[in-house]
Amino acid sequence: MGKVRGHEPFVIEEFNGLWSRGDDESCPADHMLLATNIQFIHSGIETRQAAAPYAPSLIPGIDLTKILRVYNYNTQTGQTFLVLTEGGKLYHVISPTEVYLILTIGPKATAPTHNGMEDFGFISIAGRAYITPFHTIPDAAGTNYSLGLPGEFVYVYYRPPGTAVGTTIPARPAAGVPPSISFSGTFYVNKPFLAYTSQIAGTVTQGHHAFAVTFTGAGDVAGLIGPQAPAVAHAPGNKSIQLTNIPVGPIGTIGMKLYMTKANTYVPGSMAGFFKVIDLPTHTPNFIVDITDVSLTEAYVAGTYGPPVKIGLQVENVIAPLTTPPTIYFCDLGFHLVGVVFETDTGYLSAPGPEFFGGQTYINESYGVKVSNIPVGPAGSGVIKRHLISTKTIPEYNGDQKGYQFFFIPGGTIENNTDTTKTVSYYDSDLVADASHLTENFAKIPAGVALGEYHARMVLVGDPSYPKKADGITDDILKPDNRSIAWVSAAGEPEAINQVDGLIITPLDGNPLTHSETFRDVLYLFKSTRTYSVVDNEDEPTTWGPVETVDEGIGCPVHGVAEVLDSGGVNIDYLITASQSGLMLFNGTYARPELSWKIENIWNHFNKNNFHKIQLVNDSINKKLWMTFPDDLNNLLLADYSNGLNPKDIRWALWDFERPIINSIVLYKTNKLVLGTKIDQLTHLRENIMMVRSKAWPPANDSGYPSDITPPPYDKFPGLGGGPFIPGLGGGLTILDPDNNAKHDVFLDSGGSSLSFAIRVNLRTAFLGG
Amino acid sequence: MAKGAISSEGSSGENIQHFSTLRIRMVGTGDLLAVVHSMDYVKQKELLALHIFDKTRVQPNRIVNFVEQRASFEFAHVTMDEFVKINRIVIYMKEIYTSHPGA
Repeated sequence: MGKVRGHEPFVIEEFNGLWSRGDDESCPADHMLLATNIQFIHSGIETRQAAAPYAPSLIPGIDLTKILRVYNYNTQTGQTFLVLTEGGKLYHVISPTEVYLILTIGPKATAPTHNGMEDFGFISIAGRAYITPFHTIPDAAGTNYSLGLPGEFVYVYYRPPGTAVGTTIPARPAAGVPPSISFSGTFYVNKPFLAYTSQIAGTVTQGHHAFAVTFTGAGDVAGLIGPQAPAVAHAPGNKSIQLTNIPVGPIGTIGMKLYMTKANTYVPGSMAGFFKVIDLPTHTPNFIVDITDVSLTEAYVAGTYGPPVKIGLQVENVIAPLTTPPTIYFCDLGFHLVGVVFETDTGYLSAPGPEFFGGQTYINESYGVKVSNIPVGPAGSGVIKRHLISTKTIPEYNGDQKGYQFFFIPGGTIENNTDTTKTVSYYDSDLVADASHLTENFAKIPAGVALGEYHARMVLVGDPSYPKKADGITDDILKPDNRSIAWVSAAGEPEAINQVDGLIITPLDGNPLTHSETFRDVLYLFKSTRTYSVVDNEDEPTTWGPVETVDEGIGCPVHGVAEVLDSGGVNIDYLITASQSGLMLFNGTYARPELSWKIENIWNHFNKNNFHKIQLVNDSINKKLWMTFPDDLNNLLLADYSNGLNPKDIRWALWDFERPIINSIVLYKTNKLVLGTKIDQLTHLRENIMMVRSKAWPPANDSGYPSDITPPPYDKFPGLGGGPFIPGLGGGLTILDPDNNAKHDVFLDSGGSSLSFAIRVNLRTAFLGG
Repeated sequence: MAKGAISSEGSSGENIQHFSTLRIRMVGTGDLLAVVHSMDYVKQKELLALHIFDKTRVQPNRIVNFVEQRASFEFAHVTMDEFVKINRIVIYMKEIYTSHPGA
């Protein structure tokens, strides 16, 4: 290139972005000391795209102006947003005009207290949104920890396709309570009447016998026999029979008579053939029968007094009805326990219930099994189906209902939440689908800070709750809390987390787990400065150990793994994490030097105690990565890696917005950057960190400079370094769309008006010279 | 030819330069403000703004006339609806002294 009047040309035609490392004079000539509001094109730069409100105006009654967190929520019908605003309000934003308030968790004054949902973790599985509310609180030393809201739970939200516009479907606690037949009275009417072979020697005649009772009222009025499903037991011939949960009579009952059939004479559906065994005091819960058939002489005669009351789960053999074609029933002989499992609209299978399983001795292989008093799911529980479960034949049932393996009964699904009876037929050999793993599931999953997915299992970390004492209810505060535990669900059942087997324990160092991520078929668990790995061995999560330590100096905060496009963290076989050491490239180990090597000054100025506010998104198509600041600033960092994803070739720029604090970012439709913003006058700090990067951080006033620094005389463009604060701006959801041809930013204020701001580009070259 | 910054192409003696002219290949709309700074920002000189044209066959020149050992050039646009796309900045400089007087 030719000279001009004897002056040599110095050409800058490679723009490799911001340099903020060491002194200004260490900046290479192809980098910039200021690179504000620019983006990179091949061998050049241009003004960044403009910001525009997501919605053209405010929706009446919906306040999206003070956003704390935004997530992409990919439903089965499209990409939507979950938006958390101040006040603990979580909105589902389907379109600019269709927004629903789905969950509110405000401050709680009673123990365990909290200030409401300040942030949340999220994952979408099969179109369902799983949400875990959390907060960040300092310990006694002032170190911030992000932990799930105490006393709160993981929530699930699902809006079925086709739901009418305007219909709000609230989020509800994930998982669900097991079936219950509760009873607040004194007696045990919610327990099923059971009969089984006692271990005590006796003389009951060999064969099956049915047992029932009658009650008598005042004036010795005889009663009606019941319950409708008598308890049946098989007597081996040398044992007595144990009766439990003997029915109680209606109010006014003064006496009870116990009846039984002779050996092998009971016919299901018939109350004939019963003989009195003994008079018993009313409200006798248990009794051992030891009597031979020869001694059964007083036949039952129907009276008028009310029959026994039983609301517990009842199981009985039934005879197949005569139909054309014939109905065929079948079962295996012997005592079986039967229970119920709820299925919710999100596919969750509850723990088996009710509190007392039904039980019965099946007496004929050509009979069916009728189950009645089947509990229904309470309103709002999301129960849409129920499944009957059964044990195989229990040869020596002893009254203990725990410890048996339950299986789903083929054909035992009730496709509604209303029917209370169901008749099934099954052999023990048909019982294949195991339901045992449901027994120890959380009915409500404690809140944590982050949700992940690994091998079709949901992973939850950051649970602040304590292990329970033996009663299963009381917190055992003498043990470490669960902050170092990762809860892992059953495969394919994200809400089914086993409290005994569904956990992984990382070293108990007092620092909570912050994140989980799947990478190359390995589950990585992060703390703020630690990284661990564990591998699925196709057994229960508790057996997956040992937990390997990947790095004891590098971890990531709660939102510190870059989300690729609209979900997930893995792309082209790497993760990008925001650790306290810098922006790290993780490919099984952390690559050094860090990706943020060129902007080390900026990174070192970050308040490490606020790293939980950092959020990253990775536009892998256009090779751009954005990151929010941890210090409530109106800035973003842009990292353009179209020249290479390595510390040398990555190109940095600072994006500055006039007013709103950028709290959260997501990508919309792969290349549109969505900002979740808010205005908070107290924390609003105009800052141009390039000018003060070697000085104290953060700035202490609103001028853009720390209080001990006089704004330098070279600040020729004061709009870039400070400016008057204008209260009343709203912020809200804002989109930076590459297809938007506007050349100024627009935000909505709290009144819904549009406010426009110039995009102020600022470049400063390296120091050039001989 | 004058060398670039220290860590890229190395220093060739830190002699005193005369930065004479600035030339930029750019398109867009608005006015590009320009300032040149000395080391440590002790001295600076505000240049006449460069108008940014939507299309142009001319790379505009701006006289700098700044004598320093090293200089940093700052550019900005700060008002509504301005936009710039830059792919080349050329700075003309010439070594005129080897040291400051008495140094």
